[in-house]
Amino acid sequence: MTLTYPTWLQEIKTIFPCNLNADTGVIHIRMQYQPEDIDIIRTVLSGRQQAYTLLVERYQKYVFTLTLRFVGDRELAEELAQDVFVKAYRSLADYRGESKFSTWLYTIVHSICISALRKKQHPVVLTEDLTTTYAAIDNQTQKLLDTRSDKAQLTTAISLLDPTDAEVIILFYQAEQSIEEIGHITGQTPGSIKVRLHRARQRLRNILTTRYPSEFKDSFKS
Amino acid sequence: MQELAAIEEQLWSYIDNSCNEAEHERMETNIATDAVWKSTYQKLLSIHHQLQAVTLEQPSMRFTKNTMEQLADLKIAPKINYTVNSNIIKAALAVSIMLLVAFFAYIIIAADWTTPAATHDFLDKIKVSTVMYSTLFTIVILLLVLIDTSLHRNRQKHARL
Repeated sequence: MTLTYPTWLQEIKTIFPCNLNADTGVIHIRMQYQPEDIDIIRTVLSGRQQAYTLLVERYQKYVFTLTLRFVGDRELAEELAQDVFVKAYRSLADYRGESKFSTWLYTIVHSICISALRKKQHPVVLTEDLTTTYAAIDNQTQKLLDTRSDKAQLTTAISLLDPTDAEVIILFYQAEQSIEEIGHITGQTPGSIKVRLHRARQRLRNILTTRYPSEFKDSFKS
Repeated sequence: MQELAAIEEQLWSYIDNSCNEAEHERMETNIATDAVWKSTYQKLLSIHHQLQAVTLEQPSMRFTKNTMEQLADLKIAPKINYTVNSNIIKAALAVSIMLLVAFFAYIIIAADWTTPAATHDFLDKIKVSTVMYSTLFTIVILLLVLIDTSLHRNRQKHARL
């Protein structure tokens, strides 16, 4: 069977060696090697825009998860995530390589999300008062809260955190950023990031032990 | 309860690898010898692993395509060079400060100190023309603009990493 690949895929194949397979009509791309971010950036800067696809593919989940935690709405979060990649592309020449590309990218995520919150005056739910927090939970979230999966419950609990607390948790645990790097991203000192991380975990524990006392009694409950 | 909270805080630093070597060793000993420390450590480590296992959200299937379509007509902005501007700003700041100092030195020298003692108003003693006031105003504005530019550049530098 002869496969016809989209133009952008063919172009990427000429830039980075890929192993392309077809299985039940779906094209699977198995990269023979993972090019470093900096190599991709150099390729993009040399004028091969399609190489940027690799960076979008690599970081879209991280960026989208962060924007979603800030705005809570999938459609708006996707719009913001696209804005992040567009802004990063436009400013790519200014990336000096002194930090990881991911750290630089999350700095853009942070500034775009903070601006979006200010512009649209999106309500920021603080978890100081848990009663208020739970009162704000909509039906969709309530359904998620009823799920039996620990992982899903944890994801839901993170979504109930203050966006800035959720941001620290995601950057530290999922995006694998160090405390110093999170400080760069958010413009805060490592000391205050340590405090924020500690506070975010405490709040997460409060939410989980209040909502799911039996499921999380062994680990999250004091 | 208070003590447990303090233990937890220290253990989180240990798990996050954000404590110094001496603290690290001390906590290793505490975990190995103290039952409370050991059980608390295991509990926090379990939370740590659960948080690491949380899955990321997936955007729509068309996300990459939509993003690349938005980029199609865009060009990468030219690199911003900071080196020359930084020196110019420093020089302009120095000149402005010198002008300001010279201005105040002049008004003190030019002041009419022979005016009768009954006149207490300092402004009555100094002889400054409208032109001089305008110069002072311009220097102050220039200084504020330069300080703002300098601070803005520092913020941008930090953001660009």
